[in-house]
Amino acid sequence: MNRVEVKGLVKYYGNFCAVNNVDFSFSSGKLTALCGRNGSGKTTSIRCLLGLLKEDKGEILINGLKRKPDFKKVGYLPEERGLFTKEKLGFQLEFLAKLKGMSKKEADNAIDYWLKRFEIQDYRNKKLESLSKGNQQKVQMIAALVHDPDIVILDEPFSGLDPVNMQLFIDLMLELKDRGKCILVSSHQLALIEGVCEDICIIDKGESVYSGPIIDLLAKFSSDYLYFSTKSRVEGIVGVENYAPHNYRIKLENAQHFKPKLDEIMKSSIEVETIGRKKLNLQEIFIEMVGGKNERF
Amino acid sequence: MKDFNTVFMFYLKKQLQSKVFLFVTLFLCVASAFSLMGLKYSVSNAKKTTLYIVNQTSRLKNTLNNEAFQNYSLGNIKLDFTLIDSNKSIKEIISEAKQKEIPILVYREENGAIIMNLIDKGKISYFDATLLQSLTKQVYQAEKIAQSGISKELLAEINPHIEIKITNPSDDRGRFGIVLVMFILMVVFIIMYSSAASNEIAYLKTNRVMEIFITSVKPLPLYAGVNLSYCFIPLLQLCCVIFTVFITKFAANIDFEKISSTAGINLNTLQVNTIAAYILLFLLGFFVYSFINTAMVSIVSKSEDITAISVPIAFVGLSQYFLSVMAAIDDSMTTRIFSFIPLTSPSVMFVRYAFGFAGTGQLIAALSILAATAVLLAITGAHLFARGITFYGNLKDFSYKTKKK
Repeated sequence: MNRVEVKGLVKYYGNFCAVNNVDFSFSSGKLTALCGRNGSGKTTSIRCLLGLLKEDKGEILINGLKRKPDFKKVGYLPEERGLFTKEKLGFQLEFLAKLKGMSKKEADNAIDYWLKRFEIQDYRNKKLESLSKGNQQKVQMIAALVHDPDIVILDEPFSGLDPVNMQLFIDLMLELKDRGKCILVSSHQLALIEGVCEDICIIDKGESVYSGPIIDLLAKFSSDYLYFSTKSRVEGIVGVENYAPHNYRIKLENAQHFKPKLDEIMKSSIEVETIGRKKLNLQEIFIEMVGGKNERF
Repeated sequence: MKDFNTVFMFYLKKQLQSKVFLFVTLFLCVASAFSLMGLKYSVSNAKKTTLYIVNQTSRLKNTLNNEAFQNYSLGNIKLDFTLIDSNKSIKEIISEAKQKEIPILVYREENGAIIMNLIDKGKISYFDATLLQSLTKQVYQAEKIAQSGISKELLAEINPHIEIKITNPSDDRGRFGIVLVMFILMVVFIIMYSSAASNEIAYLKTNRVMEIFITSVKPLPLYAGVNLSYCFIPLLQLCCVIFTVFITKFAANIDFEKISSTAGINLNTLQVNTIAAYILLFLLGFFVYSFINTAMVSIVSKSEDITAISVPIAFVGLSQYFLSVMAAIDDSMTTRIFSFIPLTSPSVMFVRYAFGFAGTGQLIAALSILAATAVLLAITGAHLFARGITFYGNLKDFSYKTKKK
C-alpha cells in the first residue's frame, strides 16, 4: 500500500508562478486523475514530483514521510513520446529496464510479456520510427511498466490511440489498480477519466480548484438540466441555452422544476424531436469550473 | 557503478551499430591499408633521374670511360652515355634538352678550364651535381697521378675513397613523422568525438526520453556513461587501424624498415612510455573537451545557441595543433606554459615529452592537472546537465534558476 501526497507545491520560472500551492494525492488501489487546461501547471507538478524540477515550496510525502519516491520503483510515461526513434524496440526497452535495476534475463522476459500483451511482438527488432503512432504509444507504455513499478505516472496516455487501443489501455490501468499500484493519470480525455478514475485533481492557472473523489465533485457541482433538440426556432422560454446546433438545455433549480418546464415546452409551438433530463458530466463540470478564463501563456 | 555500466554499454552498442561508425572505421582501415600498399609501391618503384652526358673535351675522355662513371650509383641520378660524343653546339644541345625534356650535362673547356654545364629544368639537385663534380675531379686526378709513375698502393694511400654515411643518434626524422601523425590524430579525434557527444546531448534535449533517464539514474553515472562511451569509439577505431596495418604488412609482405626510412615515419622510435603517455593524455584531454561541450550544450535550447557554444570550443581545440607544431620545433617558454594548461596540454605535452623536451615529472604534473580538471568538470557538468537537460528557455533564465537553488 503506497500513498503519494503533494502539499502546497509552488514552482516559479523566473518571475512567473507556474504552480501555486497545489495539493493532490494518489494511493494504491485507486486511479487518480490530474486535469487542467493547457499550461495550467500539470506537467510542472509532475516534474516536481519526479524530481525533474526542484520545487520552490511545498513538500512531497511518500507514505507519510517527507522524501522523493524511489525512482527505480516509479514508472513514468511522458506527455510527448520519449524514446529513440532510430533504435530497435528490444534494444532500448532492455536498456530502460536495466536502468530500473532489472537483470538482462528479467528484462528480456518482461519485454516479451509486454510486447505479446500489446500484440506487437513482431516489432521487437524493428526501429521505433517504423511503427504507427498508436503502436509507438504502446511501446512508451511498456517502457513505463516493464520493471513492474509500484508508482505509475501517466501523462496523456491516450494520446494517438484509436478507440480499441484506448480500451486496451483502460483495461490495463484497471488491472494495475487491482494489483495495488499507485497510479496518477494526467489527461484531457475527461469522458474516459470519469469512467475510470476514482479521484481527480483539477488545476487551473497553477492552483488547485478541486482535489478529491470524482463522485463528490459530480454530486457537488453537477446541476440538473432539461435537454431537448429541435429544428424549430426557440422563443419565449425562460432560461434556455443553445449549447449545440439544434440542441438546447435549461438549468433546473430543483427537482420539482422539471415538470413545469416540460409542460411549457410541450405547450409551445416548438416541434421537439428528443427531450430528456440529465446531469452535467465531468467534462461539462470541468468547462464550467475552468472554462471561459483566459490562458496564462 | 551498475548504472554507469548500463549507460556506457547502451551508448557504446548504439554507436557500434550506427552506420556512421561502420563507415568511418571502414574508411580509416581501407585508407590505412591502401596508404601502406601505396608506400610500398612508391618505395619499390622509386626511379632515379637519367642524366645524359656529353663530353666535348679530350681531357676527360678516359675519365668518363672509367668504371666509376660507367657504374655510377650515387645520389638520385643514373648516367646515360648515349650522347657522349655529340658535337652539337651548346645552343643546339639546350634546344635538344628542351625538346626532349631531358637533363644533359656537357663537359667542355673554356679558357683552359673544364666546365660542367648542367642543362636542367630542376630535376637534378645541387647535391647530385656536386657529387658528380667531386667524382670527376677525383678520377681525373687519379689518372694523372698514375701516369706520373706512382704505384697503385701509394695512389690509394694519397687518394683514398671517402664515403659519406649519415647516422642520426636520436633518429628525429622518423620520430617527427610518427609524433606528427599521432598528435594530429589526437586533436582530430578529440574535437570530432567531443562534438559527437555534445550532439547526442542536443538530441536528448529534444527528446522526452531524457525525463525517463533522469528519473531512473543519478546524473553523474548517466553523464559520465554518455561521455565515456564516445571516448571509447576513437580508441576502438585506432585499434582497428593498427590491426589492419599489421594484417596488410603480413598479407603484402611489406618491409616496415624500408618504408619507415622513406616516409619518415619510424614506428621503432615509439617506446612504451610514449604510447602510455599518449593514451593517458588523449583520454583526459577528451574528457575535458567532452565534459565542457556536453555541459554547455545541455543548458541551451536552440540549435543556433549550440553552434555558438561548440564552435569557440572547437577553435580552442584546434589551437592545440599550432601549439604542438611550435613545441615540435622549439621548446619555448610559451609551449612550456601551454603544456600545463588543460585545454592545450594533451597534444602539446605529448609532443614535448615525445621529443624529450619534458621529463616524466612534467608529464605527471600535466596529467595530474588534466585529471583534476576532468573530475571537476565531470561533477560540475553532471550538475549542469541534470538541471539543464530538462530546461527549455534562455541562458538568462537558466542562471537565475540555478542561482535560486
